Amino acid sequence: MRVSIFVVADKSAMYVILSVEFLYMAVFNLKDREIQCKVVYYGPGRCGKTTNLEYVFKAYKKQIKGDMVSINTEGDRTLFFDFLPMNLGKINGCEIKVQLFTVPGQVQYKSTRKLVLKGVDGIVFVADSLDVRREKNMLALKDLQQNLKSYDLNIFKIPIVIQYNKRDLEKEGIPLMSCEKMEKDLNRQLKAPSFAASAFSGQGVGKTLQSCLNLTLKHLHKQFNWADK
Amino acid sequence: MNKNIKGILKQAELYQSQGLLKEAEQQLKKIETFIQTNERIKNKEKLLKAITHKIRLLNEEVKKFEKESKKTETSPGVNKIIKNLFTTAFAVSGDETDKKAAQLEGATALLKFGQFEGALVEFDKLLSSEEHSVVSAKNIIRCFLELDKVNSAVTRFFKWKSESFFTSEQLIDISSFTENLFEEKKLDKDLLLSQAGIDNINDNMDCFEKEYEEFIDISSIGISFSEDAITSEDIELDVSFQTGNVISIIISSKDHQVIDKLKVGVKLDNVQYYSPVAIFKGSGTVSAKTKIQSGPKKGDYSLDIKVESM
Repeated sequence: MRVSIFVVADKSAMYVILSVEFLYMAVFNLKDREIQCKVVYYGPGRCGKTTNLEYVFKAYKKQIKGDMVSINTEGDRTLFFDFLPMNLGKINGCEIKVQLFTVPGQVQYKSTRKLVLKGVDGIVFVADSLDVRREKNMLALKDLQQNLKSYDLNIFKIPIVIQYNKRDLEKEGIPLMSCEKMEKDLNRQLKAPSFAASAFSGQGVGKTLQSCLNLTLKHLHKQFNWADK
Repeated sequence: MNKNIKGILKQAELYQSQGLLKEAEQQLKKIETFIQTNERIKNKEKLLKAITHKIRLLNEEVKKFEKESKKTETSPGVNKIIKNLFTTAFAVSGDETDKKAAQLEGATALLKFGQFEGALVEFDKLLSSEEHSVVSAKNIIRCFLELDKVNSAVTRFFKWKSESFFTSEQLIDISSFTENLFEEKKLDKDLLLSQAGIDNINDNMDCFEKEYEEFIDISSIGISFSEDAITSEDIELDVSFQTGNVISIIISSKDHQVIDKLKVGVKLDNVQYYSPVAIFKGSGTVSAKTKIQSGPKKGDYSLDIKVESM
């Protein structure tokens, strides 16, 4: 694996951009001891990626450092991406800033998904628990794997967590897949941490994000030892 | 039976509320088939009418969605966000070269997000940047074609040509890119050229290719800065690259005097062109001067000299 380190000198600060194959692209500001990383919510259309971000925006006000940006169509579908900047505060003396993105889920936006995925450090794969969306989940995971591969990234190596969303609909009598079935479909080989959730009510949203951030920061630390610098 | 229908209808309504329109339609069609094939249902016709109406409304929604999913231009504010979020942190150095690179990244992001009007404005701004002029020109052509403004693309290309905005080599590069785009989009280039009042792009390009093919290889040149044999200062430089009658030479950053003298547009009346077979005396004009930004020759200058006569 090729690791490149760029040092960019500036009058006010010094930045180190650490890149593995130029694609894991966390930004380290040495002077201010600050890390900025990128987490992308991926999944089929209408699975609840934007709803996840909306909940994070409402529930974690303290950590949110700006407005949530959503570029939607009239039908409330994500057209390009949603963006939410977070500040996790200091971890091991480093200020951790996180950029949360969602991708558009509709099949026709493949090139946009690829563009948003560029420079990703961690992934939340949001799967739709509705029985009728089984195939779409699998296609979306395949699409993620292909888009990562186009950046020479391996889905088995990048920090990833899976969320089984819309669990609240079970009470409504809507046919859902069991979490076990979804594990078999989507996580048999990946063996990623997985969470049942309802982005609508917020259940499981925080746990999912927390797990993804843990994995991402551990991964970045393993790669670049930032906490000891 | 009623409970069954109600259950499927509930699913259809929920799918519709979640924007899963095709799934909702499938459920409604299930109900429609069920009613049609079941003789024991009371008010059969009334129910069928209601379901057909629901399916029709759903189809209208699907059509509306498909229509609006096509090209969407966003506001300048959104374009600014796209540029900021999809530009790498190199821009933080504040260096002019990095700023231009970041501008190019921003413009490219707009292009990739299908914001062709916005991208066009950004690429236009970058045309004056020596490093990014060719890539910007190519993307300007691409934006025009994406916006179905084919005549604007053709007119712009020939404007660059008539104004000698680019070197012959750069024009050939842009022209070949343009032709490929025309082919990709299955556009009849000859028809479009005649509409734009231009005879034939191939004829126009042929003259460059002719220059390319017929020109003798030059390995190095000698320049005399004065015609007076006693006071003349001579320098000899190796040719690093040649395309037709344009030769490129590298001048070390230490040769301040030479760099200062060889400004773009300066005519050189006393030049020796050394070819592998003979030495020719002739003249030339400095057509481009670029500071090398990276690599082992960083800081040196690359100079293009157009051979006028020899």
